[in-house]
Amino acid sequence: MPQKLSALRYIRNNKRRTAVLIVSLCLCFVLTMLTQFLLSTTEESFRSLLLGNGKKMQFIDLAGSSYGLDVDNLSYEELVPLYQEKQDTLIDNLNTYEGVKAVYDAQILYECLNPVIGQFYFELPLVEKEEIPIFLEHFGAEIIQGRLPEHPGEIVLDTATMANRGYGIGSYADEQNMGELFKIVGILDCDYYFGCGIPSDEYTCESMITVLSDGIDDMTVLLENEGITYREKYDSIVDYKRTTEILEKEVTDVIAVSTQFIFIGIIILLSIALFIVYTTYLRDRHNEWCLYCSIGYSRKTIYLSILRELLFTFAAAIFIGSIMVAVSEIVLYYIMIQPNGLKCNFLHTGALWEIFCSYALLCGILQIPVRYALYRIRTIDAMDDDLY
Amino acid sequence: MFEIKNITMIYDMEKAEKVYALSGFDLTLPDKGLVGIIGPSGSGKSTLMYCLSTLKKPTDGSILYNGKELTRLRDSERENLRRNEFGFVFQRHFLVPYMSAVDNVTVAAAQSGKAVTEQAQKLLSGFGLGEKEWNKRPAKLSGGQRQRTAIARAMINNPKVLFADEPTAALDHENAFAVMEILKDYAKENLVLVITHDRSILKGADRIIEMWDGDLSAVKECDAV
Repeated sequence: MPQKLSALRYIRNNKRRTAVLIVSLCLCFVLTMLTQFLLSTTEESFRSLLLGNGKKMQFIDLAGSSYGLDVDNLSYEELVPLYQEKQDTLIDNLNTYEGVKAVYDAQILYECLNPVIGQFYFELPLVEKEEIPIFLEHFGAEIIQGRLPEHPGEIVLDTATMANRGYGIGSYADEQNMGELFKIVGILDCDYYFGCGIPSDEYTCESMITVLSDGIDDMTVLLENEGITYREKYDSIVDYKRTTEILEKEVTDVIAVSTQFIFIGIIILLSIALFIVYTTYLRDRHNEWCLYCSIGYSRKTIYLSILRELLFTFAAAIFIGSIMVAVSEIVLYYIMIQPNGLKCNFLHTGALWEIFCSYALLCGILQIPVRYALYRIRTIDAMDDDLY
Repeated sequence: MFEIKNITMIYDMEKAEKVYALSGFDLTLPDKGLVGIIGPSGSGKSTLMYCLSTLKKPTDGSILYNGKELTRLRDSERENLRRNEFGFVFQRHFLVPYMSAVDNVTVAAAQSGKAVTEQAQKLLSGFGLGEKEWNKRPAKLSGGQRQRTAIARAMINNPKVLFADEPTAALDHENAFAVMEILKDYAKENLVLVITHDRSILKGADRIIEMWDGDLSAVKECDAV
């Protein structure tokens, strides 16, 4: 078999130098993937909360004027019964729609979810004791510890929210803001960030129309059918369409920008460092390549051997990096993410593509010193000419 | 083997005062034997060797190698010749610092595989480098061992012509004679061209070519030594 210039010969005999390149590329890979992984806990947790809950339960809070009431010329005493009447009618009518399981006029307690970055308050409906099993069934939730709420001011929460907030049975929900008003009496096994309870006797929370449904993404369509036009300025609706918008505008886009900044920063720093280190390495091998050229190896053969070394370095970095990322993600999941009731995404194909593309770009950038090193190759006679 | 006609090599062509490294002479070299090229610095002996080995192209004249005109070869043909039919021992050993002695020899092989490694080990053993030295890097070898490794590298393809430019320049007398013995032995079947300042190491050469200012001042057959 004709002899080729083996890339492995250099790698085998220059483990430390090759390791420096592999470790730099590997660290960049691990850093990028783990940043993405940690940020994904925020995005995935919010996604589960906003999209999951938005599909199962919607909230409507309309202004009196949206019901067609002349709020400017009615006193508060006159307005309240009229508003209640309109709302009750709307609740009855919404109950008739296909896909709507039940509609309630429920008080809303807000609970907070804290991922790695940011926080988000979500709605916990407070309803009658008899209505709680309907909510649990709708969300596929089962009580696994404690009991269901029986008295005013008692609530149940899912395990993830409990873990995220550091609650236990007997804790008070949002104690910092609400005081000891809503006591947690049970823990739910549920795929959603979910909880519900019975209103407190001591404090009345804000009320909203609470709709349990499946497959209704946009509540404004139903309201339009009822002759009510949703006005963003005066009315408040929490449904799948709007939570999707919130997720995109306030979470996904913001995280994407942060991730891009971090990623670009890492790649620029890596490119500069690698360029300098790699140029030094190439310079040290000048005599070796001059020898090869003198004894009959073509420049193309020399170039291909350099390229093979470079590709091996990148491939090794990605291989080792992948193992490190996988191990780190599993460890982080069990020590940080799961105990905090957060969701995450293990595989970031987008980030992987970005890394592959940037590594391809980096490989391209490193062709500059490689081409220059090849240009500088001379046969030994020319080196002697320089000496004398 | 080599038929050289009117070979001329001019440096600094663009300058008014041209430097003639080779000033147009004829020479014929045999198929085998040890040929020494001797002369002071700047006499053109290295330039002659580089022209014969296709590393340099002469400004004028012709070099026939086994009937092939070397000055008209394409780059790839010249590389093939250097790879398969010529061997080189340079003034400095030019061993690759990170490779073992064996790897330094096999790197020049035209073929790869276990047989090549065995051949390299055989050559090194023949040159007095024991098994202990095979895996040592050049920095761990003595000057003589380095030069013998460089000679083994030059011989790995069993070249028809071996060019040796001052192969003993960096060696003590004992090592210098040992290296010359290896070259003389190889010259029994092949052509070995040795450039040197030191006439004493050419004892036993088949022919000695003396150069002066880019020209041949004398060509002496072996009896003359």
